[in-house]
Amino acid sequence: MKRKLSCLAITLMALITTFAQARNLNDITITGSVRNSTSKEVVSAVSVSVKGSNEGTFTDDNGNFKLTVNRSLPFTLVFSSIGFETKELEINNLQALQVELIPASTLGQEVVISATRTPARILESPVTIERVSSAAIRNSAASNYYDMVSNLKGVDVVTASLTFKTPTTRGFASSGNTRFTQIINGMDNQAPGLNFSVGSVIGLIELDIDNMELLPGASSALYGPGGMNGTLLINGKNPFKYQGLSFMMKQGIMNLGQNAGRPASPYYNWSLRWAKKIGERFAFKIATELIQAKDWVANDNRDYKRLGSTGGIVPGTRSTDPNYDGVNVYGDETTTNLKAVLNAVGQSAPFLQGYINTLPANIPVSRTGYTEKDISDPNTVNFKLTGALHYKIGRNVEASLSGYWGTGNTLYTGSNRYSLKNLKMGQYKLEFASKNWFLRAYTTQENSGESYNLTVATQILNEGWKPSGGSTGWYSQYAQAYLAAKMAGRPDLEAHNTARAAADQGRPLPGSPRFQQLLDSVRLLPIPNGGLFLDRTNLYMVEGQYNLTDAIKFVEVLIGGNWKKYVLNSQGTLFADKPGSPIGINEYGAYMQVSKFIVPEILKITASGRYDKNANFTGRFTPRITALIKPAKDHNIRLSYQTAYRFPSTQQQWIDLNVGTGRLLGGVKELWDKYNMIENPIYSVESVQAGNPEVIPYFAFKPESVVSYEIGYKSLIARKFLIDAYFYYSEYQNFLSRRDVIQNKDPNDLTFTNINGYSIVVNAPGKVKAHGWGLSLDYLLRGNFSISGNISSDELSDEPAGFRAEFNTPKYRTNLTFANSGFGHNQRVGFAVTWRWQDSFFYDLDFASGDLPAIHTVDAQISYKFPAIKSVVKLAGNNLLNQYYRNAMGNPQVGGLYYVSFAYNVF
Amino acid sequence: MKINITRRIIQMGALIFSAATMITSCNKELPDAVPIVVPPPTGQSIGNLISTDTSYSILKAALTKAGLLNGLLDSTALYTVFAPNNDAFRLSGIPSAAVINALPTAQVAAIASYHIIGGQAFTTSLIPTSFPNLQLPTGLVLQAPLFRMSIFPSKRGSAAWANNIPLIATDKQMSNGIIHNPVALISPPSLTIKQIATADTTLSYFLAAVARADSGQTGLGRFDSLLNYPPVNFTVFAPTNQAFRNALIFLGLPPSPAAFNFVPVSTARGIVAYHFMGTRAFSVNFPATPTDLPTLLQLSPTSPPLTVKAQFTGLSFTVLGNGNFGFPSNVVQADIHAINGTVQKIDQVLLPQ
Repeated sequence: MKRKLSCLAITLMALITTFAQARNLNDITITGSVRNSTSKEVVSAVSVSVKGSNEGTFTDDNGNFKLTVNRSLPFTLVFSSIGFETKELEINNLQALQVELIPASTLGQEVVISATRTPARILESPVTIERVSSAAIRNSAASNYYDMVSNLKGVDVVTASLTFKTPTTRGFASSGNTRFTQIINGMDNQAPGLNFSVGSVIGLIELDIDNMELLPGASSALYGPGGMNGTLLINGKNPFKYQGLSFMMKQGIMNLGQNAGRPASPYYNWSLRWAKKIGERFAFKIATELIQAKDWVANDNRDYKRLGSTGGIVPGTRSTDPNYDGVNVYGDETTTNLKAVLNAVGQSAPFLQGYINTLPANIPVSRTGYTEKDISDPNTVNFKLTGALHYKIGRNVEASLSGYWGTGNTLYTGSNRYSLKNLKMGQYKLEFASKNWFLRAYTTQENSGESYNLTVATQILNEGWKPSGGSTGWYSQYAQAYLAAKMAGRPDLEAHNTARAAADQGRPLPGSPRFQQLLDSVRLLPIPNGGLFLDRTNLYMVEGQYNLTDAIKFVEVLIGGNWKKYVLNSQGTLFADKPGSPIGINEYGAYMQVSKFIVPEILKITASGRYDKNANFTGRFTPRITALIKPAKDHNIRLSYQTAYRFPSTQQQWIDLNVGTGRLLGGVKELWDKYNMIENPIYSVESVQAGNPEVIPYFAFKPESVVSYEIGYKSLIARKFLIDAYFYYSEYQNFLSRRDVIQNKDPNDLTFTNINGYSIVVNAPGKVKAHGWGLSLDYLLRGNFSISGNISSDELSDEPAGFRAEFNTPKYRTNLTFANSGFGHNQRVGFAVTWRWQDSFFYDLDFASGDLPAIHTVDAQISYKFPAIKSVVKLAGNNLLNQYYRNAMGNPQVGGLYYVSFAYNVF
Repeated sequence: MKINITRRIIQMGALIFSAATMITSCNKELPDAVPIVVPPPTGQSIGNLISTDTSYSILKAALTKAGLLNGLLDSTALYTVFAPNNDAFRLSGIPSAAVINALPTAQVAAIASYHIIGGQAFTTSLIPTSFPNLQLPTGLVLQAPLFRMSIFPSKRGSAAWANNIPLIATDKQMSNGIIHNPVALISPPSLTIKQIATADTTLSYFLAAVARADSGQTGLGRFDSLLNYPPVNFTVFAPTNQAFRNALIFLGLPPSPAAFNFVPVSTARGIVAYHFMGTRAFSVNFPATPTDLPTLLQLSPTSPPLTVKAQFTGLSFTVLGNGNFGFPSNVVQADIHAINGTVQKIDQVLLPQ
């Protein structure tokens, strides 16, 4: 595929040279510059176009433009830019123009594309949509633009690492949420093998973001399988429009205070973007960003009682619970019943057997673990490199070839905590776009680098230092020391602790050369002998869309389709593939959308439908019907019936991974056969525990689907007060989840004493229902002050008994922002203060489950512009009060991050 | 007017923010691991009872001298103590604390520690009522860390013993364990069976028979080694010299230890093995009616062990071999306690067939 892409690049370059020569000698050129009428600052990226034609250009970073057209005077030029009133000028001569644009409120005026895949005023979107503009990002306190998404209503963000943040809407928040799609510049950003969205790893750099659009709720009808709960679309800046060199340096400090997990440490975030138009047809951009810091520390040392993939927090510490298993302590998942070891001691020392016999039958003892700080790289690094070549073919078609590459060190929470060390991801895209159509092909190339599973790696590290089993193993030493201490009359717990100290004698200390050597040897050894993934899974996708409206006239029609191929390649370390023979999964789909104002300017109906087929599942049709009612100007009521579904993720299909506490298995029949689960049946853990073993027969698992009904209202009052409200109700069917099962190793031995443990993918019986609502108010005050707030709620109901939906969402959350985008002398000062609160809730995930307390955070920034040097200095604090919080179980505690930034030429 | 409203809104905004900021100070501290708190045991400790109850004054003196009292005072510890009261000490010939104080410390420590089992609270309900007897390591360390001299509690009906010492009161629950009261001191053995037999002039024929049985054997294949091997448990029915002389004469051999050399080794081995039980039994543990009990003699490695019929009524203690034509041997000296078993001296050689 890479080779194909480079072939295309060569073709494109050839085209460029061909077209570049085709210049008309009768062209006339208009030049000029555009300024802000109030602040007199130059305005870049202003669209300058000839009225009634496709000809046009944009102002560069100095506000200058040069437009060459092939027509005669006079004609009208239209100057438009978000945040300014549109201005029209009649051109009678070729004198350089000095244009001033009057700032205007953007409230409710912004244009969104993702709601219907066609441009529409945000006020008139037929489904709930939120937009974050680059201007909003500039004026935000957030150190990372992903944090800004959390200030939108209905959004939860899960922080697995400083550099790993995952937004979600309408429930199921987790780092590996597969029900929420992130589309970056038209490309699905989900890592095809690891199944999490990697927006914060290889997404756009902040300086290159034009806007973000958030579609909460089901959106498969337009965006394909996935996106059951929402889609976040992040769009980059076109180099034709946004030109020049810009850079930003954020220098900060974090890990402060007595609750910090490590000593105070610096935070660096440097980014640079350079875009340039060469001639009228060619433009390029290159952008890069480096984030470096000492990560937040996951230090939840609470004792966790695991039952397969479920469990809960229990009282206990390493010194008060011999079977202690700390949430963020690793290696202590290895546990055994000491009684069996004691019996082995009794076999060789029969004079102790009587004493041993009278000890309890079950004495669970875990090995001594290491904390996350001990075994993960403290440096979190993120390096992104983006480049794009754009070429205009003829009048209407723009071709672009772009690449997004990122690497870094970060941590991820899934069924375990994973150190994503030197993870590398690349997305490469070739796109042809016109006003009415686009055709794009892209690939996602995943390389898990030196990523390893903290639990498994530490367990193996422990074994490497001192094996658990054997007559001289750790447990045997423990058992003997335990007996000696017991027989000396010591209390049970003291005997355990004495035994642990004896068995742990010579245990490598974290940070010691011996420890590091052991860790390195384990983490660089592929699973199952070590903790290393060898994931090189790739995705190839081709998609196209055509807007037939111009051709059909009486109704708006949109058609599109795509083909997708996953190539799972993990050399057996993640999937059930074998070295040299990756597993391929084909998926294709097509969609169509028809919309029409049934009652002109009052009622618009849009119907969309989509058909998708995956190699492992039967085809699936998802319809969507929306209605937009405009009872009065700037008052819009939206109604929608949306369906969405998702094929099980590549992992839910093909994973075959020992996670230390059991084996995760995908749902394809090949895996049932591989582990002989049909002939030697599997039983649900609960049924075996209840003493009534129930066989789970083979079943073909199905894609999960959701039907969602929504009503919303959006209105703009007096051009300064924007109200948006929604209520939705969703029903999930064939909800995909995991279930713990066990199998007797010997099919003839039905005692369940010698077993294999698996976690298999199942569809939940019955329907899982969710509903929620949201309300936001934005009020523009005089002098660029604004106050905005929102409150939203999500709730799950009718959860089948014994079933884990992992909804992981607070019932209520609110945001309140008070900001000014420019005041004082020449409107140079800006500030923003945001307060966010979310309710406490029960967080449930394979890795850990438990209650999360309510979270309050305050983010604030104050900035000052230096127009002469086109720069802004910002002083900002995230989590200003430095009150550490966790937004998911097992995840790091997040504290205050304070930074000062210097940004040059940021528009 | 309009400006006023706007200003008010700004003021309100500021107010809301300061309120919000106040609320944020309510963010809870992140929860940390909490230790499992075991409520401290209530009630009197074993050590405290022994220190304060004057009927234990001699035991108190012994434990103090042995340096064991502090451990028993620790209410977080756990013990089973066979606590002899002053009457028990007197019955064992120690009439006062002064006598204890006059004894060598090591001896007192050995005796005292033999009455204590660490780490578990054994109520009599845990004691089995049939063979084999419960073997519980006591505080008397033979070889650190794990090899300790065991005590062997047993129960028949409602009567309970520690070794062969009756327990007159049982199961007194204390904060740090259990107390049982033996009728007398429970003396720890200090010698192996071999050492006892060697010192006993009436058992020299027995040792000669063992030597014959062991010829060609090595290591723990030798009865001689087993008799001197501390970790094992045997009950040895050891015929006196007179018994052996009678047997030799019966076989037509001269009544002299040298005569064993005329007995085939396999026969000697069989006969010796027939005098061993693989458990440690005291007289009180034998049934009141003659009962088959397994010996170490097997005719082939897979066949069941041959048995002897033993009986203890309190008045008589006999054991009968299959080949003794129904004439049981009398135990002439019972319950000689060794580190590795008990010796029951008998007046007739047991014949397997």
